[in-house]
Amino acid sequence: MESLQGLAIGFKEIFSMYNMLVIFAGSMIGTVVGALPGLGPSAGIALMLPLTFSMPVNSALCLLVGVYMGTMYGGRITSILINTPGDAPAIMTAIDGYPLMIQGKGGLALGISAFSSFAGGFFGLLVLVFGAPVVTRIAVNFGPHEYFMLMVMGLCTISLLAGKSILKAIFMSLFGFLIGMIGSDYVSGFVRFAFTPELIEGVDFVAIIIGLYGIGEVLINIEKSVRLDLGKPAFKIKEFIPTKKDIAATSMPTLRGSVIGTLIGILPGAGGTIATFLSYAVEKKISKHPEKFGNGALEGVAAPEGANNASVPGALIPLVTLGIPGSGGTAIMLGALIMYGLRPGPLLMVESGNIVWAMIAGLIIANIMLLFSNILLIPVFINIIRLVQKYLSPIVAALCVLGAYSLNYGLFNVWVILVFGIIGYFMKKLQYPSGPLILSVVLAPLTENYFRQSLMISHGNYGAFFARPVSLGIFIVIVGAVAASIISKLMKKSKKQALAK
Amino acid sequence: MKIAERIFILFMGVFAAVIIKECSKLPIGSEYTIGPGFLPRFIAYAMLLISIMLLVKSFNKNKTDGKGKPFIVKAGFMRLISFFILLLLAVVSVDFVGMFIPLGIFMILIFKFVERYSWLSSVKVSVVSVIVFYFIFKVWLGVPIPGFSF
Repeated sequence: MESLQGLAIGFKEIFSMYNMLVIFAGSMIGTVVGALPGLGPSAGIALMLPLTFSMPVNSALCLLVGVYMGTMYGGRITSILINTPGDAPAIMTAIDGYPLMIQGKGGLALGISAFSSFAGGFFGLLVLVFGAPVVTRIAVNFGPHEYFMLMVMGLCTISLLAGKSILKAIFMSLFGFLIGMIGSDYVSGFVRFAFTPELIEGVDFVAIIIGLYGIGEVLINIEKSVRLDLGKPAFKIKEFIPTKKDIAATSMPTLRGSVIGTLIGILPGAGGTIATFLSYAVEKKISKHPEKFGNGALEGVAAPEGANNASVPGALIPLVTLGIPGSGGTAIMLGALIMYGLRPGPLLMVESGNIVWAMIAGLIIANIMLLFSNILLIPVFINIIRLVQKYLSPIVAALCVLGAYSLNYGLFNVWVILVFGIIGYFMKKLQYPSGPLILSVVLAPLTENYFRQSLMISHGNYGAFFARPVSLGIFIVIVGAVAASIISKLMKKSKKQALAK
Repeated sequence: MKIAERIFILFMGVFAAVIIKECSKLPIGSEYTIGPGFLPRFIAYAMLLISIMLLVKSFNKNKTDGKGKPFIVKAGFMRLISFFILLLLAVVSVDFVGMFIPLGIFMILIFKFVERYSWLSSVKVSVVSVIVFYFIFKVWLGVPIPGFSF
């Protein structure tokens, strides 16, 4: 009941023509950004952030969640049409989506994937709407000890799950932590590592993400000079609308994908990519016709798409209830919440419940808009992608420069985006994951504060972290996760060596 | 590929070393709790240690790893460096001629000489983009961006 009341307030908050247009624009931009290889949800949100500064908070969040959800829909378009995934979670969609396209069923693949994306998003939103208040009720009783442990858990899981090498992920996490600590330490009054006066306030988080995801991706695209040949696919509207039989055949895979997506989304660091891989593997394993997978199985399109879109609301659950982001995209959302003057954590839903519910309502409306637009406007999207991708890199670079300048009306942040652009380029080329870096930049000041508070409360006694049952429980989970991850990596390595022999 | 990775790790390692040096100016503890130098020092040491481990790993890797797979091919490097230098020049000239003109010229030059489009389409797309940016940032968002102050 409390959830439904909250949701009603949320809808009331955002129900205006302006907000509807903002959500629609965000969804459309997100779909195009998601479809363009190299640009994913993080880049989409990062590029839109500077545009939201002059908006009311509700509208700004509506735009960002519209973009976030839109990118999840967009990735599948180029996956199915030309076997080129727009983003990492859409890789699995290409495996069966493109064979369907070759067989002349591209319209059906796009239609089914849109329906599954909608269903996955809807399922995840249901869990978010009814689950978030429950988690919040538990989390408001947490103290700084528990919060510190939760933050450590978030950083550990993202380091364990992001990328192929744990060492590289930890390396990036530590780098992000140090970047997050630059500037004034408001508790002690010391200024740390401020090599220029502009750094006294710290490195602007938005400048970092614009550099990493904007300039960094542009440099990669310029180097590779990727051009998508979208051809001129001639689809009729009715081809996008699946029959009852198709929907019935894909309903269970979609549901299973949605459950997997939501659960994986909640885990910090796991995100949509792992959810799609897992849901595809599950479907193939339980299918009566596993040989069809890879050759145009509709289930192979439906399950990953459901999982992908369910992971977005899933990742928002730890963000709005605990203040811990579940993915790179939600880490940027957390930074945005802080910039809008909100205090992420369990009190967020108590102190700023209206805004949180407005954001969730915005997601629901975006999900509905995206279903229709991704069925009715596919030809429009294809034409926009064809036009935009030709001129993308310099325009995005100029947008990044303008966005960075508008952060504090000076050139310092423009230099910051150029530096982080180079770092982002090297990270991408050398396969260093960016998720742990972003998460650490956001969580570093919070983690340090909770650590300090915990020690103050317990008069400098480090044992207090293990004397409180919840804190100890989280610590055991962290140790278990680290041990499981190391064992699984070692097992994989020995298996590989055995196979090589 | 390996050389590029080593340079990247070295850069990160130097960053960690600088932080460790700076941390010596900060107190590690205060009454009952940690000081401003505690976590950065601890983390910078960990980062330095991992950078050494990654560096050693890059030397220990199978020698055929990455062989024949250059970090960047010559054509890609030329595109990349031209793009970055032009972007740098555009940023440097902001103080002299404002924001929009250098960004417009930057886009025209990239379209024409890096992306190899015709002069007409390069100028057309750049001018339209600059006008759109002007309306978004200066008119809609009210950002005091230098240039086009009429």
